[in-house]
Amino acid sequence: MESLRRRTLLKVIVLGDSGVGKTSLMNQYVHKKFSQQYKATIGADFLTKEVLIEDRLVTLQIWDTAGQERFQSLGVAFYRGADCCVLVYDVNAKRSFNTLGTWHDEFINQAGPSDPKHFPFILVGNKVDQDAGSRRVVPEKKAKDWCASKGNIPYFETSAKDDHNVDDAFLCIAKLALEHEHDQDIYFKTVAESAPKTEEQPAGCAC
Amino acid sequence: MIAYISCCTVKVPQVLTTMDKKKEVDDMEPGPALSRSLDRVGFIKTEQSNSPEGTLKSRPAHECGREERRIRKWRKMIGAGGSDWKHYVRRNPHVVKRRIRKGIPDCLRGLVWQLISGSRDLLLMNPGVYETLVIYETSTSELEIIRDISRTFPSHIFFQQRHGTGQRSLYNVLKAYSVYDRDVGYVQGMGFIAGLLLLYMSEEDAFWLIVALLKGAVHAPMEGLYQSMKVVFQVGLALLRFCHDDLVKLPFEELLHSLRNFPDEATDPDTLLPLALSFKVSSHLEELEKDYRKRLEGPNASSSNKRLQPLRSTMNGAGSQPLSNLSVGKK
Repeated sequence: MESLRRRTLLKVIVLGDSGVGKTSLMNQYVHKKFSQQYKATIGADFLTKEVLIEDRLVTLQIWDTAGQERFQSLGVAFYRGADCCVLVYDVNAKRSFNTLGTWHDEFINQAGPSDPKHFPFILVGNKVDQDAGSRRVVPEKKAKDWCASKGNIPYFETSAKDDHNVDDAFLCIAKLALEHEHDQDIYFKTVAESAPKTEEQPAGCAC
Repeated sequence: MIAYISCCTVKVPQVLTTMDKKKEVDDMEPGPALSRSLDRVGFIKTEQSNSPEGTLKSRPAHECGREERRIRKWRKMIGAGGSDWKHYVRRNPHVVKRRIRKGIPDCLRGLVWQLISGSRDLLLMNPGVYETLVIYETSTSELEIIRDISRTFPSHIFFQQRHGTGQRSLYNVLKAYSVYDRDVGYVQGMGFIAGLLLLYMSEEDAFWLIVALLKGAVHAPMEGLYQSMKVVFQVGLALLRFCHDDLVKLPFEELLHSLRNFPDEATDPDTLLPLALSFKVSSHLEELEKDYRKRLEGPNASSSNKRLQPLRSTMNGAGSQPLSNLSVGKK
């Protein structure tokens, strides 16, 4: 039965202003590496990682995008078919927090998910390591309030440099996306063949 | 306003790109290892390099001789400081075209690019303008540019040092352009073009070459020879053709990686360019472009198409005329 289970592919989009650390987060998560030498991302790029979530083998296809505003118009091509979206800002850069609303709305507009209100997002506040937090300008509370206003999206504070909370953030988004996908499966149940019983896993983390 | 004033009039040394330099590196090879090993163009080599033997292997003697003859021919064609160039192009356009396709000798590229693009004329017609842009003007893109400076060719020896000559020149050129062309300003990715140019010429020369590339020079000095986007498609097609058999076997996840890391054999100019030029990019592409635009502007077009507008105008304004130029290649 194990071997028969189909693999699930989840498309994850990482968005946020230029320089907040999108590429670094992705590389820390996928390759367990941090470099000061990343090139500015032009256009888009992606990495994949396989994770086991509640006994299910899931391939995350994580899309990294260019942060400069004028590249947003390319979004449509990359957002299509996304299962979830990670919004990233830099806790030491106010502007990157202020633009989150735009990134969020643009994503919804361009990806056009069937159920925009419940589409899985998470928010990541990156670079908490910088100068031991002394340069921080966006308080945690403010970020959490923003998340609440967008329908209680989960919030993570990370350091791609120190590998702090990075795994947790991506694992969370993968689980959310799976749940969301599952909801949609139920929705289409009458059309598709009935869902295999094995998918009804008890709640809780199996890893 | 942020400016690295000290270096705006300083000629950037011709790092690592001249033939002489190559020879130096070749000569050093049998000796003790370099403290950090660099590839042919100055990138610090990573362990998992494409070619294990490295790219610094010395050329066979007959190739060196051929290269020297080629340089001599080119020097004659250009004349001192480019004085004979225009005359030569007018009289023998096909010879020039053929020689360019065979490859401009590395040590002359800086000059020849400026001659081909017409940026030399821009430079001569606008004395002092670059300096003014760098020193006295303020750009709204300054912070954006700074953020990308250390992220442009971070593993290249010339750009690696924080606030080093390379990074300062790069900043000055990008800032100057963002002031000069405020509609376009700074676009991520420009740094990689500016950076490449700075390996071959001074800041001011690089600045005017970018202007010529993006906005066009006064007279297109090589009208009829200049084929803009066509060759980009040809090279792209050649790469795909060369690697076709390997690429079609790959799963999607590995495809992107392979498309960015073509094997050395595929990018060898001596095989790549003849293959590229063998493709006939016909007017069919122009039709496809029309089709594509129609679809974009059609009744089903969503609001997102409007959003493409700014970018598209940037690209069009970028001198490289839209695809309509592609039909030039009537053979």
